[in-house]
Amino acid sequence: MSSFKTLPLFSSGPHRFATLRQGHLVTPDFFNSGFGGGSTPQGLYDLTITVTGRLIAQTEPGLRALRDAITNQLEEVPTLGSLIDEHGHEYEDMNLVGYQEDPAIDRGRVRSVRYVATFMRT
Amino acid sequence: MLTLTPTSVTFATKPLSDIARIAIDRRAIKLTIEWSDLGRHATFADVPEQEVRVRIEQTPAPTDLKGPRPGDLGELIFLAAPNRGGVQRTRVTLLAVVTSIKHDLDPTGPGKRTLELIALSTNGTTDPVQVEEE
Repeated sequence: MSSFKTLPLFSSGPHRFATLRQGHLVTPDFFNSGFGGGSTPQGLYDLTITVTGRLIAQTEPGLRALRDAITNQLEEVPTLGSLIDEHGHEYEDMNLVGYQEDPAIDRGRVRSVRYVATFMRT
Repeated sequence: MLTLTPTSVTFATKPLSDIARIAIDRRAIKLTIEWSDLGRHATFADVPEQEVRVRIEQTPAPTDLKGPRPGDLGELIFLAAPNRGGVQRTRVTLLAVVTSIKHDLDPTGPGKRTLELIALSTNGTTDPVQVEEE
């Protein structure tokens, strides 16, 4: 089971982990008071992981509780924690930096909403 | 749901005559399907938006010029029975808006008029089609 800081934030529904771009931030020298077509690596991007999934509950308050559990991890002063995916792989020292839902809650057999949670190692 | 030879068919309190059959179709307008990181098969599906369409066939087609028109809103009521004896009749009631009226112009046949309607729920939660045993 996946978790963040040991909390099963996403276990109410299916979700998928994705690793965003890794590597160097490279800037053209021309725009850094230089000239020519060369470029300079400025350093590695922070590791960024997204979790895309669907929160699922039987009731509106239930869905709200699931959302609150995630957004409560959006902290003014971030504290780092371990993010663990469905296969047990651990990303250490991660910080929840963003959470976004689809515009509308889906109200069918159950209440559900699709989301993207973004974690960074800053 | 398909009802053959329904009786006492009214729309917006006006009787509809010579009804051969009424079909009530349902389909998903929005389908949500999700997959997990655990495998290839979907692990969640739901239909948060659906529609209920009704088709009414009249044979022969009525020749009056005052029938329902697209946009008309009304309650469609009819009695359905598994056989002509009318045993175990059910009353079907639904609020609906007319979306189209088509005529079959086959010169060798008696002519047919098909009304299409979309059923509406009163509050978004209640099923638009109410079925009561008579």
